[in-house]
Amino acid sequence: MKPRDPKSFEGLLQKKLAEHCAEPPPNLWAKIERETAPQKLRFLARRLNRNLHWLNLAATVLLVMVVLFFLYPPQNKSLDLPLPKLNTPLKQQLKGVPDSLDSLKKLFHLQTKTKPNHEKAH
Amino acid sequence: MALEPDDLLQSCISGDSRAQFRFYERYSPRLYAVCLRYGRDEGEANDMLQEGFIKIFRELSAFRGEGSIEGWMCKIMVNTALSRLRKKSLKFLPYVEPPENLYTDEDIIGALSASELITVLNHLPQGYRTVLNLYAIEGYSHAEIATMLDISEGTSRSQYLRAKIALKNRLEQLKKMNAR
Repeated sequence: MKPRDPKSFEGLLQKKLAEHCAEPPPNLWAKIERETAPQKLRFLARRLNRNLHWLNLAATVLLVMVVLFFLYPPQNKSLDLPLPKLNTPLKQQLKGVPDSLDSLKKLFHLQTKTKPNHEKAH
Repeated sequence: MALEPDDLLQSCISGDSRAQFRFYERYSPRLYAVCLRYGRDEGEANDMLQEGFIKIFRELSAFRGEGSIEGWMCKIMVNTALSRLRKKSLKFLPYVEPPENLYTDEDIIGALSASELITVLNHLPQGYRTVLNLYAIEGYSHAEIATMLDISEGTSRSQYLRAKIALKNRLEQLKKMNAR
C-alpha cells in the first residue's frame, strides 16, 4: 500500500480505512478448510458425506416403519400370549391324555393277567 | 502454545490445519475489511474472503519474504476481488466535468466510523467504488489501475473524480441529517 498525503481527501480515507478490521462470519473457516484440505482427505470427506446421506435416509425409513407399526398394528395376529383358558375343564384341556391313561391301564391290566415265569415252568 | 510468525508460516505451508486456522484467525479480520470495501454486500465479501484465503494457502510457499506477509495477502485479496468483479462485467460510467467546489472536509470523514464509511462507500456504483478503493486507499496510480482493470487511464481518472463527487455529496447529506 502506497501512502497518500495525510491531509488530502485520499489520505483521510486511507487513514480511516486502511487499518480497519472486521470479524468474518464464524462458519467461513469450515468452508475454507474443506477446500484447502489434502486431496485424499477431501475425497474421504465427500465419501462420508454421501454415506451419511444414505444412512439418514435409511434411519428415516426405519423410523416411519416403526411409527406405522404402532399406529396400525397387524389385524390378523394377536399380540396376546397364548395362556391356558381357566374356564374349560381339565379333561378338555388335556386332550389326548385320557388315551395315554387308557393305554397305561391296558398295559397294567395285561401285566396283572399274565402269569409269573415260575408258574409257567410248572 | 503461540507460534512465531515464521514458524506459523512454515506449518501452514506443510499443511498443518491447526496452524492454518491460527493464521486465518490472525489475518482474516484485516482481510475481511478489504473484502467489505470491494464487495457489494456481506455475502459477496464472504465469497471473496473464502476464495482469497484458498489462493493464499495454495500459494503460500511462493511468498519469498519480500515485504510484509500482510501486504502480500492484501494484494492477493484485492486481485481476487477484482477478478470476481470483472466476471460480473464491471461497468464504468462516462466522464463528467468535476465541479469547482471539490473541497475536502476533514470533519465529515473524521466524524464517521470506518464501518459507517464502508456503508457509504457501498452505496456508490461498483465502478466508482473499485477505482476509489484502488486509488485512494490501496494507493495505486491511474496507470496501474488502467492495467489492472483493462481500461484507459482517462477512464480511471474520470471514474475516480465521479466517485469522489458522489462520496462527498453523500457525506454532505449525512452531515446535514446529523445536524438536524
